[in-house]
Amino acid sequence: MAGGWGSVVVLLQQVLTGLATGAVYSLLALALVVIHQTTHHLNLAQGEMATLSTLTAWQLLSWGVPYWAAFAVTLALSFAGGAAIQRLVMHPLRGGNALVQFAAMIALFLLVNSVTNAIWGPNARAFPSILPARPLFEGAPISGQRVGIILVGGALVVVLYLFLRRSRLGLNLRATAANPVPARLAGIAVDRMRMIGWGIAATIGAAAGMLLAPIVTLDPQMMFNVLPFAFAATIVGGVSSPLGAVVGGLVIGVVEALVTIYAPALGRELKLSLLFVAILAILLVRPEGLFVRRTGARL
Amino acid sequence: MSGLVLRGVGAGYGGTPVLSAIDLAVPAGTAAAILGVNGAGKTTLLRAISGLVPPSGTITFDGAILSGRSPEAIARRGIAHVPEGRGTFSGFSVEENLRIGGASLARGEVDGAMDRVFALFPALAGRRRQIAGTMSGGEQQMLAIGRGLMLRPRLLMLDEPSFGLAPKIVASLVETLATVRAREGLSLLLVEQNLVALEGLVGEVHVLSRGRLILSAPPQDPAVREALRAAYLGA
Repeated sequence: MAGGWGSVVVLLQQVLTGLATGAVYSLLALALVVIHQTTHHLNLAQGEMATLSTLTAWQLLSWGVPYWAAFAVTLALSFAGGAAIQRLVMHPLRGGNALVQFAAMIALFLLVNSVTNAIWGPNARAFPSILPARPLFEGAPISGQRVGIILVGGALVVVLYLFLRRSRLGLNLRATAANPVPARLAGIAVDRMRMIGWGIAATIGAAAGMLLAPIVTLDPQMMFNVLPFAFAATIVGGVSSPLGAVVGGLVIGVVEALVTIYAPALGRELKLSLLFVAILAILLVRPEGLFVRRTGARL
Repeated sequence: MSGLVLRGVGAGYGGTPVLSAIDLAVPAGTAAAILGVNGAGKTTLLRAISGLVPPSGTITFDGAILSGRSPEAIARRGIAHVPEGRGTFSGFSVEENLRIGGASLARGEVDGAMDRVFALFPALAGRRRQIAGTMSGGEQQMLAIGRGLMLRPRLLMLDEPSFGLAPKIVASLVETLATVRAREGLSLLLVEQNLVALEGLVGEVHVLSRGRLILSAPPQDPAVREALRAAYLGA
């Protein structure tokens, strides 16, 4: 490369590609934050739940349901499924110790994974994208697919942010997470809030899965390589900060894309190791995350 | 009988009894205090009334049975409980704290209830956007009472409202509570270790010792001081 315009385009291309993947990490990270905020669980099964949702959407599409109808039905089914998992699995374990709950998360992870394997088998499937895969316009540095991910992902983040910050239900969800006993004493039905929290997280995960599926391989292992990045995003941002999760996801997506092109020698395996070295460093220096003020106040 | 009535109430944690055989009444519109040393069961008594620990025996409020109901259902029946340590949502703004307190109101009633709280506590009105955790102890206590009042309760229960406050602040808190009671026409049930602060405010004190009610009398009654002294000395 003789530098100049060509290398600027490559850089731009990688940043935009990274932002699209990062938007998916952000959404999944946001789902993790919502569950952690309402129930103090770190949902290990979040990725598997998203895969199950995405395969459900694929099934609806293969039956001839139009794209946006399948999208909406999948979101609704995912909400109900997430709420049901909270009610049937996590709620009965609420008094148990952290180890029991952790074991339940692992069981849930394996259970959902085996369900998707049992129903759909290990084969890869094609999943349509919102916008066509060709470049957005002649010579554009980004494909239509990725523009769709950024637009829809960005819109979902904004809607979710406004919901949590401005709506009455959002306030009650945050109050339940922050201080459940005084929340109950104020008449807030905290058990219902926790169900809603899991439902919302499952819905966000479903959206992330459906956005991601066209640019990766849709099979039961789709999220194996994605969830670590979402966890990384929550750790970078702080597990109690929705804004941090979003920024964390975008940063990790962009860094990943830049490393791929400028340091190809690292390869996939080393890239993951470096990511986790960075996470450990953040945990050592700022265990509360980069986006949570030391006072404990949330951005 | 209107107001709060406890008959043979007991409560405990994981099979360990903390309270037993409590009979007491807080008639509508009156103010009472529960006194006793640490570990006497005062906090557990409030928690049993508000449903945070399941009570045995019967608890009724304005004729309706409370025992066996969830804390959120009991709150919605008009009992506000400001717990130990005030239960402030410290990362939230003053206004958000009050809105949380008004969670059980119809949507259209929240702003009106908030205006009433701001009328009682003008100091809070100018701090709507302030993060609650950054306020002083006295201000946070006002906010906690305001949060309780957002329920539009008929009974307000406060667990050690004077805890950690300077004597001067406690005096103004007692004055505020007297105003609140007169203006809102509600009953008060306070848990305290210190009788002096409450003497002018409450009409009756209930002394707890080792999970049992040992005396119910007006605060001026010399038997109250005697019972407290005996409790402190472990008699």
